Amino acid sequence: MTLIGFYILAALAAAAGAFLVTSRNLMHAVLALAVTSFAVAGLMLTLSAEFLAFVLVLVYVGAVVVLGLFAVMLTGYAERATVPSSREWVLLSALVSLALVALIAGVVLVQPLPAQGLPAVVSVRTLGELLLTEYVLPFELVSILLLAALIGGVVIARAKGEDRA
Amino acid sequence: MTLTLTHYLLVSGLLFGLGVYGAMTRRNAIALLLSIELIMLAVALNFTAAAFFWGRGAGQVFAVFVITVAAAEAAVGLALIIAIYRLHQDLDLNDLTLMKG
Repeated sequence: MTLIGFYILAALAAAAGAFLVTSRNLMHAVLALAVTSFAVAGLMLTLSAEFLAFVLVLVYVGAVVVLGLFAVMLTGYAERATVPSSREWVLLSALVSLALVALIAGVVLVQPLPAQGLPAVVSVRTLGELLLTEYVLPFELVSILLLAALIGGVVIARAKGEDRA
Repeated sequence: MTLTLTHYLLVSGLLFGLGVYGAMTRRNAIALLLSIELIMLAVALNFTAAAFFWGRGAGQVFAVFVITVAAAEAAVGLALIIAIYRLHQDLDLNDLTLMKG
């Protein structure tokens, strides 16, 4: 049952991801990111990581995709198609990324992974406790990063001459 | 046959490869940013799978960090894109040579 779900979600994620990187219409590409995020969130649900799945949908679909749609519409790319790279460059990139995927798959399939314990559900409680005890310093650093990104985003995107509000 | 860590590693490896392909071929700044978000998504899935199959919470902690950094990057990146668009009316990365001096 979970196996079938896994294959459906994995195929959906891969198809939407492939559409994302090839579509010449940016609007479609942004919406493909939403589909990919939903599929990956589903994959996380098969791993019993409910909290992460919800956070992923919230952040990716709720924030990144919406921001992306705003950027596409503000820059007028909703109507015009993007310029593709030259044919040789596309071919070279395809070769490089195929080699990368082959390398990853080869290592994952050939190299025995270090001994795994029994699969265990990481509860939200464990996650919260880890974040506020062992990983409290990176947690605080990430919150400062978010604050900096927030202020930076506002300052950078503001038009010139608007600073004397 | 049951699901193993290998299944998830292969899927996230494939998504990562797709993201790299997009990041290399895209000439539009928005599309490039979207490809990088796809790479981050693959990494978050990888960490979550590792957390489950090793039964350790640390993987999920780092997946949270990856998602946070992806959000911060999208916010600043799209702000920069809008600022660049105001200057150039175009987002073709091959023509953006503002920093060349």
